[in-house]
Amino acid sequence: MPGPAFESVEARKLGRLYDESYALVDVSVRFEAGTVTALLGPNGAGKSTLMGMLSTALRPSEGEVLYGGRAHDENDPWLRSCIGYLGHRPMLYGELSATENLDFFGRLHGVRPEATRHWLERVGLTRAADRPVSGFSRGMAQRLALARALMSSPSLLLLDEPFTGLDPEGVRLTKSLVAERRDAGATVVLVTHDLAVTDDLASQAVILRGGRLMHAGPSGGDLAGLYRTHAEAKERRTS
Amino acid sequence: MNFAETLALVWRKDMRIELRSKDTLVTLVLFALVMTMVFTFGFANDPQTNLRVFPSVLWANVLFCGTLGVGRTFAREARDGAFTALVLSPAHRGAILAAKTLVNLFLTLVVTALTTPILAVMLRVDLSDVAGLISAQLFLGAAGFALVGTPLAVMAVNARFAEVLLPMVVFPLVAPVLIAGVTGTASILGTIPEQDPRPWFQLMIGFDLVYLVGGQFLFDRMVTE
Repeated sequence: MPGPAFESVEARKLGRLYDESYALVDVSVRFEAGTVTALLGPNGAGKSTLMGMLSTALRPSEGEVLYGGRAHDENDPWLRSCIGYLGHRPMLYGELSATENLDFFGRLHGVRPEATRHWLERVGLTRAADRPVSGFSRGMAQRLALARALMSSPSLLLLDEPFTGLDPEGVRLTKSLVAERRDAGATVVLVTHDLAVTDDLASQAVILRGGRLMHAGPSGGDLAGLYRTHAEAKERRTS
Repeated sequence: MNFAETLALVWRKDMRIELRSKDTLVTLVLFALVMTMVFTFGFANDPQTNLRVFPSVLWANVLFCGTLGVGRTFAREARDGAFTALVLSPAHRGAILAAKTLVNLFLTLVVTALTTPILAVMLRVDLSDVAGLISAQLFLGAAGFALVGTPLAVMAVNARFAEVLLPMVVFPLVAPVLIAGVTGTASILGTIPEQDPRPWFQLMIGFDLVYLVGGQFLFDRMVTE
């Protein structure tokens, strides 16, 4: 398996303006290859905005994102081929079956056709392979969405609330697949509110609040403690 | 994947979904039939009047069906967020736009092919001698709609009040196609003094080419928020 396409992803003085208010202000943070970073913060902190900019779906109003130390055109197909993105929604076609969805997105990413069967097995959806996704439960759709994001072996894996709707088995599976990608050298950024679930997975933590960076550094295996210190404490102080 | 492979892949995916759900096609056909009925019952049985109103009624049908169709272009992608996955893939975005435009053109042509003969029969307009010319005009006009409306439909993915906003943006831009269509059809049917429909054909071809090239240039920028 080829190594990661870049050694780090760096956000430099990122800002994003919506209408007349900033969702993200002057955020500079570096994500290293081979690590999982938990991106934390209360609702409206700017987590999804930052993920959107890292994925190239959103254009920064200020600052830039460097991939492997270089700025890329946001429309560079090579860059897009290096990124796997799982958003709030499953990003799948309800009218198509699980197989058809993975076939379609796999081919867009230039993945071998055999990968579809492999990934359906990996996420435990072989028996539901030919069923339309519209009939899937939230957890099943989430597993399939994870397979879609992972099947191109991305160098940068962005997961926005990946544990949503998953049963304990699904959570274990997701964690093992994310760890596998990390061990292959990928940069993984994961937005979550399930701090206990992510504790043993994320070695780094980035905490945002009100669109500003509150903390960036090692998680120390205690995401809940970090969160209390950097997000909730500030909230109490300001209230 | 090269341009042609991406185009074929996205086209097949969209047509497969449409054949399964049939929601866009059924909606467009029903809408066009209702429009046809409303227009035809509103006119007298005078053959000369019918001949004169035929071009306007025909192109009003194309206008409303075309606008309704392009508004639904990215509706499926938007619903479950598949639009983001589609445009974040390394696939050639111009090919995605081309596939979507062809799907819109195909659906509009199917609806037009079904309703134009009905309209002609109900208004008792004989198209047998000019069917080829009218078909060519309808093809160019429907292509113009698809070429203008499809890239603009991207805004329907994210914009609030997109259903209102899209027609407001599309209508002025397709005005040249409409004018060329109505006047050209009237020329072909011989109901206006200007008998030569060729300038109207040329206008439509020029319009289609401008939007074909413009859409390919702009679409890449339009999909990034």
